[in-house]
Amino acid sequence: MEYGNKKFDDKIREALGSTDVPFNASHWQDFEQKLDAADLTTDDSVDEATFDANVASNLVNIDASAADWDSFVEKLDDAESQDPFDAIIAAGLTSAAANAAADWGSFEEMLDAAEAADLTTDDNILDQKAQQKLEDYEVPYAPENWSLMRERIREEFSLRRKLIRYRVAEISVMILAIFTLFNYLPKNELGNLMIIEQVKERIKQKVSPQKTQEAALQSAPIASAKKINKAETNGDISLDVLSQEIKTNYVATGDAISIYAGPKVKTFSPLSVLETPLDVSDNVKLKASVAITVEEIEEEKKGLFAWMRKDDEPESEINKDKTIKSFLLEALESKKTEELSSNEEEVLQASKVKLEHKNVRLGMFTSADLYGVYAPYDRFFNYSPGTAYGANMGGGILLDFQKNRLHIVTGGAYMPKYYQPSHGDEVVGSFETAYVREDLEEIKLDIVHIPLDFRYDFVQGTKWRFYGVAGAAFNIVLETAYDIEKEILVVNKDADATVAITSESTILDRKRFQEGLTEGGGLPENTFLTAQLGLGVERFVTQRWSIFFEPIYQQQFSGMGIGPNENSFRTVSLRLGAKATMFGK
Amino acid sequence: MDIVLPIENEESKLVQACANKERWAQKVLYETYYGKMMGVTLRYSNNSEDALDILHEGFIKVFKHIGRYQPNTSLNAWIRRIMVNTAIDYYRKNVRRRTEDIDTAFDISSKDADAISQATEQEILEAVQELSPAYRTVFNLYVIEGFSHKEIGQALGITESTSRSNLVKARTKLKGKLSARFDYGIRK
Repeated sequence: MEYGNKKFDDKIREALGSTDVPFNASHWQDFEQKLDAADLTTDDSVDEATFDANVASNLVNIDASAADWDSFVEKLDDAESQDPFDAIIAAGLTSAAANAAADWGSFEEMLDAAEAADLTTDDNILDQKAQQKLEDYEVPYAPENWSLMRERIREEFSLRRKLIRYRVAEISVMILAIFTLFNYLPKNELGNLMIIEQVKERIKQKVSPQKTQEAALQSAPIASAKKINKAETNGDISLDVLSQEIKTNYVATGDAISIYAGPKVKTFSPLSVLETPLDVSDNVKLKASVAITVEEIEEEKKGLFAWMRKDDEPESEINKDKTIKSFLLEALESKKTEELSSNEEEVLQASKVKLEHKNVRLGMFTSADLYGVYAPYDRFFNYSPGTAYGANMGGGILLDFQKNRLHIVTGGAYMPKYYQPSHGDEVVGSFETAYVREDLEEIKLDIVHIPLDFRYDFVQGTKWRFYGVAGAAFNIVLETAYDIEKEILVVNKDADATVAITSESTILDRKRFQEGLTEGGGLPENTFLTAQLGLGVERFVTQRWSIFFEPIYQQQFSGMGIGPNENSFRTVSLRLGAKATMFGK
Repeated sequence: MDIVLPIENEESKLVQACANKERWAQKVLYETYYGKMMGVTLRYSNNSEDALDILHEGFIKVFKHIGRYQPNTSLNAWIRRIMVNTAIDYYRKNVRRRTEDIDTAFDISSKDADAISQATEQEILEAVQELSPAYRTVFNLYVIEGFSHKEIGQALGITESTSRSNLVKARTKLKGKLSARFDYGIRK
C-alpha cells in the first residue's frame, strides 16, 4: 500500500513538473492596464521621515520610572485574568471530565454506528449471507454417533465418576481434619509407650549382664565416696539417709552407680527410688535385679523427650513418671523367674503400674468391595434364584474408641453398588406401533454404610497390632438409578416412534422401582442391616499415625431385599486406611 | 390404534424423561436436535471430529441441567445456547492466542460480492472453518449469534478492540477465501 502511494506521488510529480503553458497575449494586456492604473511615482521616504520625527518627539516626554512599570504589570495581569477565553476553556474541560463516563456509552454507540456505516457492500452481503445460510444450517443425522454419545453418557453419569468426585473431596477434608488435630492436640499415651520402648531398648544395651553385676557386687561391696558424691550432686538420691545395709548394695561399676531395686520397697515405687530421697528407716532390702544408672536414665529421658515436645512446652512429669516406671517394672519382670521369691513376685505385681490405653482415634479408609448380589425367585419373569457379581470402590471415615484391648468402632462409609441384574431381554409391541426391546441393564445404588463394630486386639504392641472385628451395620440407600435400555426393533412408519416406545407396557413396568431416600423414597424400603466379621492389622508409623488393612466380610440379613429384584448382598471389603489419635492417654 | 399427543405435551414428557435419565428419551432428544446443533458446532470448529466433541459435550450439559429448562420457552434455543457456550469453552481451552497480520490478507476485488452471493451453505461453512479459531469464534458470535463486541470480549476473555479487529480480519479473510473458490481474479 505504501509502495502504491509512493508510485502515485511520483507519477503526479512527474506530470506536474513538466507542465508548460503557452503564452497568452490577452493576459499581458490585462496586466498592463493594472500597471497604468497604479501610482508608481509616490516617494515613500518622505512619509517615513515625518513619521520618525513625530515618534521621537512623543517619546521624549515619557517618564519611564520603575513604579510605572510595576503598575503596568499589574494592569497586564488584570487584563489577563479578565480574559473570558480562559473561563470558557476551564468550564468546558470541567464538564467534559465530569461527563467522561457517561459519554463513553454514547461514544461506543457512535463507534458501532460508524462501524456499521463503514461496512462496505461486500461486508454487508457477507454478513447477511453467512447469517442466512449458516444460522439454520443442519447436518443429516448420523446414527453411528449415538453409540459414542451413549458411552459418554454412561461415563459421565456413572457412579464411578461420582465416586471419584466424592473421594477427592472426602480425602481432602479428612487430611485437613487429621492434620489439624495432629498439630493442636496434646501428646498421648501412645507416645509414652513408644518412648518406653525406646528407653528399654537403649538402656538394656548399656546394662551389664546379670553375672557381671553379681561379680561387681562381690568385688566392690561399698561404693566409693567419689561415686556417691556424684549421685548426690544429681539430686536424685540422698545417700545420707540410706542405711549401711543399703549402702552396701550400691556398687561402683566403672563410672556408673548401680541401684538394686527389691521387692520390699513397698512404700515407694521404683521411680521414687530414683527421684525422691529414700525413706529407708525400716528394713528395706534392695537386691540386685538389673543395673541401671541415674545418669543414664536422666540422659535418656532428656534425649527422648526433647524430640517429643515443643521448645516452650514444659516436660510432663506424668510422662517422665510413666516412662521410668515402665522401664523398671519391665526390668523387674525380666528378673523374677530367676531370683524373686513368690512373695517378691506378689509385691511386684501389686506395685506394677498398669498403663491403660484410652484413646479416641479418627481414621479414613478406602475399600475395594467385591460383592455377590443374590436375587430370589422372580415371579414376574419366572426366573430361578441366582447370584450376580460386581465390584466397586468405597471409602469413608471411622471413629475408634479404645479402652485397652477393646475398641468400639463406628463411622460412615460410602459403599456404592452397581451390577447387572440377572434377567434377559423382553420384546414387546405390535405392528400398529413398533416392536421394542427392553432390558434392565444395570442397577446402581448409592449406599451409606454406618457400622457399629467391636474390635479386640490380640496383639497390642507399640508398633504392630493384630485384631479381630465383629459387628453390625446400618445401610441406607440414598439414590438409585436403573439403566433401562429400550431399542426400537421395527417401527410402523405411520406411527410416532416416541409414542410407540412410551405407550408399550412391559413386564418391567409391573415391578417396583423404588427411589432412594434422597429422591423421596421411604426409609424402611431403603435400609437394610448387615452383619460383619473380619480381621485386621495395624502398624503405627508415628506416635499418632497408623495405617491399617482389614478384610471384612459382610452378610445382609435375609428378608430385606433391595430394588426391583429384591436383591441382598454379600460383600468382601478390603479396607486400607489411616488413623490418627485425637484424644487419649 | 394411533396415539396422538400434542407437541407441547410430547416435549414436556420428553424433557421429564430426560430429567429422569431415561435413555430412550435422551436418544430421542439427541436424534431430534443432532442436525441443528451439529450445524452450530461445525461453525466453531475446523473439522467434524472437533464439532462432534463439542456436540457431545454440549449434550452432556443438556442432560445434566435439563431440570433447569423452563417449559414454556424454546427448547431449541435453550439447547443452542448451551452448544454455543460449550463451543466458547472449547475455544478458551484449546485456542492458542496469536495475532495475524492483516497485510497478509487478500485484496478483494469489487466482484467478490457476486462470489459471496453465489456461495452455498456448505462452501461458506467450509470457508468459516478455515478461519483461525480466534477469527472464526468472533465471526460466529457477532454475525450469526448476534453478540455485541462487549459480550464477545467477556465470553472469550479478550478486549472489545480485539474483538472488533478480529471481526474485520475474519471478514477480509472470509471474502478472500470465498473469492478464491470462484477464481475471481484475486491479487495478493
